[in-house]
Amino acid sequence: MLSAHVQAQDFEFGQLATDDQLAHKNQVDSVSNAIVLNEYGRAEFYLDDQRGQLNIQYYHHVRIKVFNKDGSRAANIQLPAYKGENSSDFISDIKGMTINFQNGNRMETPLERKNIYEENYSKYLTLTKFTLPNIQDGSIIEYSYRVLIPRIFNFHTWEFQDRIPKVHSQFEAIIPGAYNYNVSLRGPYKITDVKSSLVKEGFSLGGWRMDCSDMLYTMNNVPAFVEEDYMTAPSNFLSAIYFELSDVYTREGAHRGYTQKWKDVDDLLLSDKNFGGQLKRKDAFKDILPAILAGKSEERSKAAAIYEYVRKQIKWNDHSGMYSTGNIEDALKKHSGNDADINLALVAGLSAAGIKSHAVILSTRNNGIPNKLFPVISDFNYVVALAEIEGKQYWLDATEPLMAFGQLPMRCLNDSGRVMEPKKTSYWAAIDPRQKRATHYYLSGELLPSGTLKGEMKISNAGYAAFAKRSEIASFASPEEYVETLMGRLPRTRMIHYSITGMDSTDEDLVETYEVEIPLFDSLHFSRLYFNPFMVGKITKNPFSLSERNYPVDFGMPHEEAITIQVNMPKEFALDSKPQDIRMVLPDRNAGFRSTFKLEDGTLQGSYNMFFNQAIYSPDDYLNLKELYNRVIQLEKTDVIFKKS
Amino acid sequence: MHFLKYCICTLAMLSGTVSMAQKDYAVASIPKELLSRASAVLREEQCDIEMRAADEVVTRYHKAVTILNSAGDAYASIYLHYNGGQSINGIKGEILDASGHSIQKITSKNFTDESAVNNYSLYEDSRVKYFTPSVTAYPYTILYDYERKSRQSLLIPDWEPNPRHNMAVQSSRYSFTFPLNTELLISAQNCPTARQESTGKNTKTYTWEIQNLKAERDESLSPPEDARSVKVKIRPVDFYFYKQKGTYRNWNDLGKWMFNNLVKPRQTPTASMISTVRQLSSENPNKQQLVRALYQYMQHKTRYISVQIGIGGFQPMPASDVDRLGYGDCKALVSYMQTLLDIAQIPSYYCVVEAGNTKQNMDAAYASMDQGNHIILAIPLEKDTMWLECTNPYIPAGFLGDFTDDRLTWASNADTSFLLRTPAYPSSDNKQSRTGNYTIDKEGNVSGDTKITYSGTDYDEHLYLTGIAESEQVKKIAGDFAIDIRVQKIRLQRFDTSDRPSLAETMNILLPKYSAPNGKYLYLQPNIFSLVSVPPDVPNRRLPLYLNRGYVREDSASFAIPDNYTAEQLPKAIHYRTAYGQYDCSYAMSGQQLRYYRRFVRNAGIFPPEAYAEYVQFMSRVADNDKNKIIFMEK
Repeated sequence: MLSAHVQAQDFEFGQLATDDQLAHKNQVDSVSNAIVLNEYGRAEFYLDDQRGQLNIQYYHHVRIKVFNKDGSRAANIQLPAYKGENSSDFISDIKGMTINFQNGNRMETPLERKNIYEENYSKYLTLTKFTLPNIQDGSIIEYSYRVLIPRIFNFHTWEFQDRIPKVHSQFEAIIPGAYNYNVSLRGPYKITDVKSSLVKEGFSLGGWRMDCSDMLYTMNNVPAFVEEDYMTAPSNFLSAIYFELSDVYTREGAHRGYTQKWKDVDDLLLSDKNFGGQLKRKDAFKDILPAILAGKSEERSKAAAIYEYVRKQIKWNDHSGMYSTGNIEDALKKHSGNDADINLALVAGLSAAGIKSHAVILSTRNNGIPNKLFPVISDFNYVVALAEIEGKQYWLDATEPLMAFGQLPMRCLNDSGRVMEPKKTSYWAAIDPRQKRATHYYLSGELLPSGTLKGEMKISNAGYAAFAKRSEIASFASPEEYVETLMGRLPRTRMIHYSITGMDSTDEDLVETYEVEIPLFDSLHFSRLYFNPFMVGKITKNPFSLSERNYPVDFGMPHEEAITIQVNMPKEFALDSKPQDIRMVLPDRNAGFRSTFKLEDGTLQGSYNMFFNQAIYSPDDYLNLKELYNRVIQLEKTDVIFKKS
Repeated sequence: MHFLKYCICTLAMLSGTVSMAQKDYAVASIPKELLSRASAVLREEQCDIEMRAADEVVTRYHKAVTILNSAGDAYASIYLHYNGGQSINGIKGEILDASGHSIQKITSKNFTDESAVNNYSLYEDSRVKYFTPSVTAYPYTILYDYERKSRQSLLIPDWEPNPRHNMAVQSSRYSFTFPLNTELLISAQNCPTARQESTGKNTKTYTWEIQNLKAERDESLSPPEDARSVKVKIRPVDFYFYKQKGTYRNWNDLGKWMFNNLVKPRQTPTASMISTVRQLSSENPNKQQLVRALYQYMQHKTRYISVQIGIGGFQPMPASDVDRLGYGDCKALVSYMQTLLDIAQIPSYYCVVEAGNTKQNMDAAYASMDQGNHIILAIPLEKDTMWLECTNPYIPAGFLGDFTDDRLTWASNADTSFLLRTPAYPSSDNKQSRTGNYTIDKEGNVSGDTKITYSGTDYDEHLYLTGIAESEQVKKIAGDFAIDIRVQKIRLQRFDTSDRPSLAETMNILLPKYSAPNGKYLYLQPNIFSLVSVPPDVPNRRLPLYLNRGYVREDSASFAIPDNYTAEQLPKAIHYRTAYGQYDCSYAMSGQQLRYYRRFVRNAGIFPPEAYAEYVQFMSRVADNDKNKIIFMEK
């Protein structure tokens, strides 16, 4: 291990500060069953002489106060160790202790070696699990461990923020002078303090003693991270510090760039047998192409036929990755593959047919947003196709059997992708779903003298809504059973007839039409009739409940919901009151809500439209969005009131 | 469920096979009547168990299932669970197209081997090999075989060939082969034909078979066990289990074996446990009081952590470890509590129970080790039995809640073992009563104070709130309702002194824009909190209606409405009485005050299938009335 010339910033194990005992649950924020009192981490280089391998030696030490039984979950620890082909992460020196105070007397219970368990989780991962003993309300727990990690590229990420608040979090990064890292801070909170110093000859590599920079980052009083609906990966927003190796100098002064230029990354990828190598395998399609394209003359229909062929042939195995797992011929034969097998085959197929298309690498929503400042190839975990057909661009992903041509799954809708165009430098393209999630409800019919509404209910699902509905219907053994279940939820509605279109052709809207009879009233012998037109798709709860939000609202795609109503009323009824006409838009007019109702020539006509034209709204829009939902919910409580004339 | 209390590790049951017979698996040969409601058809299942000796049981399993459409894909995945006491060999399989021609071979290399430990468990001996086929053209058929060797004979796979939701059964067969002189315990339920018997040189074989069962529909609110389901269970009287031998013919035998071999050896008290008990005994001369004091001591000292170590997950951690470490799983915590009671010379029973919201009994007619997933403690007192749930840090002694109520448990101590029923909570005990005084402002915001008292199983479901930070309480409460609620102040009070403990929650709340002013009208739904959900219509209902637990909900609220409005007309008072429950609600106006009262009683019971439609009708009338709006008009 490293010699002791590094000044120790770590706090003393088990030596409580006076503040530690006094810490209370509202110290940092109001959400806390447990609180991190103090936390120190250190990462530094370590040379494995025998293997000649560079490692990161990481040390972590935490002190937590547990306030109640629920907070005792903070005492259950799981440390992941990744297994590689040649070398694996190695966890050591686990130390733990619980401190309780009984009648003012300090009592210590140590973590026993034999109560630390190792779980062989999978081929790639081992979990080291332990829980600290003797947890009471008010216990202070403390543990520390080391991990030797045989990968230096990302040095070590440090998360200042967690699901429980932290009073004090400190990270020390000791980096030899020959290694240059790009350092970036994410999240809304500022670093409280940074100290830097130099460690003379702090690291030795094959007899070359080099100086190290010693950076000490401190953040105090970090509130807990609270998740809400419509957010992408927490890692995009958690306050944390990230490292990327940019360049390395040799003893002779030569310099090797790690943070490559995109051009170098492009060359590397396009010559990789599991990426560019597969794109060139147009032969895989040579024999079958004539059959696929038979009778197709237009480029769009040719492309659609190849897309259809690939997704029928290869089923997605739920694995994400940027590289194919084998070659695409195998995947076509085995009928199984990851997204790269599928979409690299798609690009190869399109190219074989003379359709211009490129592979685009991207990062899925739960994987975080890729770094735009310089290429970080490990940020990407997925590949799709971008085709240019008859002058129009189409994003294609053949992993989802029920998706429309030109539609990307939600998981891909994450900022930008990098288009890998051969013989050109790759470039960023904003991932634009182009398609909305749109649902339109139509209700038309007649209110009969018996009080029954007889008519047609049509639900038109477009774009992502069509995909969602198609998936839902496909989860039933047959459409009949879907309708049966749907009607089971509307117990008073009698269904006379139904039809569902667009189930098989994924390019069409999915339209459900139900001919129904709804006994709304026992009779019409009332002087007033109260009719609530918001019978379907009603929103009862605001998805937004925070008083402020530090990260954007990311719906993935623009969306809208509309209702159109046309009901013929018996002649004797006139309008007494109706839901207010509303036109409400956000300051930049990119989201809004409109609603109007009127009675004209004995027909109640209503239209309602809630729209969100952007996929992503900034935190500044948060309160406006929240208010928009409030107004919609309030309006849906009001009725159309008729009176007998 | 707010607690992870499961603990006995359920060993993977179904297993093993015969050589792959070249049969006709073409989809065309499936009998037409099996296709109705089916997304998958179990073409052929064969489970052949061979007990060569008490410590060597080999199960050969063969299965062929046809997947008709994507909704049936889940039935194509193969999950083979195993643990250190078993080995799985000879995995092979094949995927066939619609006409029954092979399109892919499957070998053990296609399987992923992973830990099957629950993510909340610190330790479990549990792994899984799994394979999920990738076929894009429907229909297709997957067939596979494997062999499982087990070095024990206490747990033997049962046969339950029943059709499932969306899956029909064309053919299933189960056989058990055993040495000639073996005594067996057999339970065969609803088998359409008698078992066949055949005799080998030194062995005998029993075989059961079933054919052509149609896929069945999921029917909501049906009893947990279908009385018509086919089930065969076999166990040898003389068994071997993790280096231990035993003999049993009934619950008493098995319980005494389990307790004396697995539990009792783990109950050696430490000096500190003895002195703690002595001290508490001197402070609490009354026996019942002492039990309560010891229980509180245990609750305070320990927390639930799942650690499934030792003898197939059936052996608790030593009581001395629990005392030192302050944690354990349900077995360990019950065994620890029992050890404390032993020191105080208070006898108690270690009780195995199938825990969960659904009430499941131990099979009174058939003893076996694999029934039940949880342990609780029973203490016989002068008048009645006191039950202790040892994994919950919040509840008072004697309270069980809906996790283990009203069902047969298997109670054991060193001398005896028998089945013992836990107490039921009658409908009238499971109660929430709420009062509220609210003011409506001109924008429609509703605010005021409300108080709710929970008792019975409702008490249990909300008690966890007392163990979390106030900011979390506020979020959880708001999350329970489908409307926007801002809880501004909250106070929780426990009343645990009586046999019927209760919890009172007092809050100041704001419901932003809950009421809606619109033109000259103001809309208000006075029933804010208590909305029922209506079960779906099930035409041609097949199964009985099962209403698991009854409850009572009582609400009274008053609303001060803005001065410029008046109620034009109030909805009529409602009084419904049915076999399934009763519903009363009424409205009254005095000055600017609206008073609302609602009482809903849901009964428990089992009713014939025809009753289901009536129940749905009752619930939808309740739901309609619950959503009644009062429309105030500008004066």
